[in-house]
Amino acid sequence: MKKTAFIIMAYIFLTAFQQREDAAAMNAKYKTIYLYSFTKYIEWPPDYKDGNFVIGVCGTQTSLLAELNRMASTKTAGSQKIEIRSITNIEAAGKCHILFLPTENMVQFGDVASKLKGHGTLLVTEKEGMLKKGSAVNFIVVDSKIKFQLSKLNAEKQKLKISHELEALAVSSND
Amino acid sequence: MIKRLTYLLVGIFLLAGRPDLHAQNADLIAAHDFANQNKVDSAKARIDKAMSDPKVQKDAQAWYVRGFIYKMYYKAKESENRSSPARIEAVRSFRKSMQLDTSKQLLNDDKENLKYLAVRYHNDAAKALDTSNYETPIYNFQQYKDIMNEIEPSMSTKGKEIEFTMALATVYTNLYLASPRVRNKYLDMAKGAYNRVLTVDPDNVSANYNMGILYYNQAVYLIKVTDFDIDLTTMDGLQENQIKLFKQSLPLIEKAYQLDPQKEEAVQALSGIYFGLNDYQKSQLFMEKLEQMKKQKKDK
Repeated sequence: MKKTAFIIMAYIFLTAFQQREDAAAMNAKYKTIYLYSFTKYIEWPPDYKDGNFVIGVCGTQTSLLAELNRMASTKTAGSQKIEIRSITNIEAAGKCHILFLPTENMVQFGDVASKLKGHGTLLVTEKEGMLKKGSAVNFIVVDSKIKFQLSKLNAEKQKLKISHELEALAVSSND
Repeated sequence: MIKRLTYLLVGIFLLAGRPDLHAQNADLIAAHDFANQNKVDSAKARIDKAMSDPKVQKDAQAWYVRGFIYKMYYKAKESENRSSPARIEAVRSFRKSMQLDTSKQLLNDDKENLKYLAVRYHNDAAKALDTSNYETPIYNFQQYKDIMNEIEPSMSTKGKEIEFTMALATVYTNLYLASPRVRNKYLDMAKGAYNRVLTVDPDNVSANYNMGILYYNQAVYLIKVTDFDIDLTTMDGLQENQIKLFKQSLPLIEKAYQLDPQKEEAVQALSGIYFGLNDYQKSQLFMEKLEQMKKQKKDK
């Protein structure tokens, strides 16, 4: 009887390793959602209610800027169009409603809080202890989750009004 | 043709020793004759007519002949039909022959024929498996496995089963990725297939890695499809689920890495998992390891 051999399994090559999705983009999405949510829970001074709503990012954090731009292309802050700026020099930053200072750019940008004093800018940082150094919102990691701390006092110094809902969502801080 | 005749002669020889059957069932002999002339339609019609005789129904040799004729028919008319009814009948007939053959005279021939058909089932499963068609290959592979376990219980089909299930998992994954909703039946089917492989082969690098990546991609996908307007309380729950998925991914990718420390994709995935768990130090460690590996590879 004619023997039939097992064919070489062409389909085994289908078992290629799958592509890994970009975790950095995911992290950027969370921060973008937070930053966008702040526009709903915080009231800016009257002279900040005209023109574009500017969210500045110190440095050139590509994935965050990309995610923010994606958000800005479909969302608004109330009636204001959202504009995303990559900031390389605080003095030349112009009027920002929100300024995010990533950890890796802290040394380069120095004491951002004092430079923003009196402006209606919400300074957002991501390093433990930053509320003591003048930031109003600080991202921290709690049980592997990205959360945020809030300093109402620092926000008020910037003439910003924080809603009670946002206060309730913040993680308590010892700062 | 010579070989086929040789096999049919076995049947004829056996039938010759059974004058009672011969005398009472001309259809059986006619079926033989037609088969020898390669007239498969006539042979099939006559063997089925012969089988209507209750005496013939109890005869192992008659079932052997029926199996042989149906096998011929399958090869001649239905070899491209992956759900061939003739093949099903051929298998059933050889099995029946084995069951009735108390003298074991036909045992080797029955087994050889069944083995031939089992391999054809296997090959059909291998050739046809893709995203548009996986149910028939699953059936065919199961036929292969059942027959082989029956005729050669000492020969393990584990290796073939792992290969097939891995390919099946890839098919399910591709179907899932074609429409990656958060809940998707193909995602669960892919996980089920990888789990089956890991049950029989816990050290399978690809199964560990691919299963880990399924969880990983699912975690990333959760936030990827989330609208920017999500309220922060709901987002907290989302992060909770995502962390759970990353933690399910971690031990699988770690195992793939332990089993194959040169696997760059595993190192990259570990960096990604730790990033997803917001453990940036560990993420960075694996990223540096990956760069080292790439440099070493380049220097070689």
